[in-house]
Amino acid sequence: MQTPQTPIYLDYMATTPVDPFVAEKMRHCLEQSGIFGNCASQTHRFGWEAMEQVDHARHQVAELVNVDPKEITWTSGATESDNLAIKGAALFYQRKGKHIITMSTEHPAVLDTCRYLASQGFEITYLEPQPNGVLDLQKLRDAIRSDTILVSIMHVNNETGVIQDVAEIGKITREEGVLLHVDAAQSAGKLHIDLQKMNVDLMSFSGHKIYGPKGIGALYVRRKPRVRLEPQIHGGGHERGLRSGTLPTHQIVGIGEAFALAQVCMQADQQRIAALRDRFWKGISEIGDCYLNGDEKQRIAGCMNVRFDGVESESLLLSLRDLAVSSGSACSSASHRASHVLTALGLSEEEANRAIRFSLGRFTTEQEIDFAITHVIEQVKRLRSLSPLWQKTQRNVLKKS
Amino acid sequence: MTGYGYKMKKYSNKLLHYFFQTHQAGELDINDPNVKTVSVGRAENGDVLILYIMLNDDVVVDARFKAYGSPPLIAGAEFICERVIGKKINELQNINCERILNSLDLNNSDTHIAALLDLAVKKCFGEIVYVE
Repeated sequence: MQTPQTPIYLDYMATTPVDPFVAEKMRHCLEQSGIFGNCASQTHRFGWEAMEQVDHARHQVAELVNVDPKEITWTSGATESDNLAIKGAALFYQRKGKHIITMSTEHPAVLDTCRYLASQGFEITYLEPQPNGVLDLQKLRDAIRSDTILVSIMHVNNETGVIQDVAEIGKITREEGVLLHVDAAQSAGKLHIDLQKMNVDLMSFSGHKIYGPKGIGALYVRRKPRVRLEPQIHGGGHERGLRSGTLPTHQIVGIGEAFALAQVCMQADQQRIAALRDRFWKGISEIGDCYLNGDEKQRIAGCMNVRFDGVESESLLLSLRDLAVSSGSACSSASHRASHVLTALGLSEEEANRAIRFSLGRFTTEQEIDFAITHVIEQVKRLRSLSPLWQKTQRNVLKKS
Repeated sequence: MTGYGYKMKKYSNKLLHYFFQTHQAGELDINDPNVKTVSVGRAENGDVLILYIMLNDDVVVDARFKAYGSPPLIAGAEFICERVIGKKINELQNINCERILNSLDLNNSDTHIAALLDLAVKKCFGEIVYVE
């Protein structure tokens, strides 16, 4: 078996490389010979050409989720989109009420924004998921009050890959007259989203999770019925006043092309990735005592959050020199605390400290998966042979039998 | 395999050396009267270490370890076991927290691991402690 180039990248949930097709289109918008104009310059061809590109990209993003291009606002990424959606809505509608509902498993972009709002006098309810990561909808119904103005739930969790039933959540929030914001950073281009069929009012998108560049995202803001937001970045009134700042043509072309490409590749990609994931899971399960964190079925194809008994995650990550994987999310890998998402699922700190996230993507090959299986099994065996806890488990097993 | 091309920024070359060459990993027979065993740390805290030492009079003839936890713990355990073999008990005073931190070039954030290793050494060569 020919050895693939190492380290093998299995961290697609953290970020993705830009698709070569997309990169080519972006390159065309940088230099003097390309479309470098400021799209706000309406008096000459350089500006008009840039504006054409931006409009085209807006259509591409809108088409993926079946909305009017007027409802797409460009931002610097899903984090900014989350900030704009949550702070923007909260500040605009605060006279109606000051209660916001979200989940404890949300991305820090949502959680930290909510914490900031709490310091400004808003009340936040953090709903706990079931042990499989999925939200119990009755809990949501029970949590909504007369002064609730916004619910923010992510479509796909970045650590476990678990999918929330956003369509059902939308029915509930519409009934109660509450706004729904969905962070779709990990789901756009991977799961089919039709916003004409879902009562979602605000949706955050990220470029770099779907083979587009980093530093660009979008926010969907519903117009029918009209959703209003207080802008967070002022200066020039771009994007209908919602978000000022010169539009980065090359970045926008990047996210537009990435979304268009994703629409075409979605089904084939997801099927292929699911098959590779099943192969990988079957392969590493041979080692025994490895468990999936988060629901097995209601999960995005490429993501696997796994814990191996007897083996601590940092040591395993260091041992897996030929793989690029992570534990928890990239945003929290600097700190030593156990993942808030995994502990919310009911894992103990100890179990959460054994979690590794493997995530596959468009460029993952069968060869890479086979190599990864061998490597993982080898290293888990080595660490288990060093481990006093693994022995205990085995001794207990022997005692019981 | 070309995996040696990159280094973990967080961990020093010294630490990596001990982490990947765990020759002293293993156990000794706890029923042997010449064998001392010491256990430190708790699974809930994410670090558990068991040291097995075989003595002949007051000279250490063999040292093994079992460790569950982060890389500094495993590397530190290997380091300690390699250092104590062939030494007399009274020569082991200098294997303390600071020595461990320096020998593995540990970060400040891993001081608690060095302290745990230090505790294991002291427990081992100070008094007899039985594994639960």
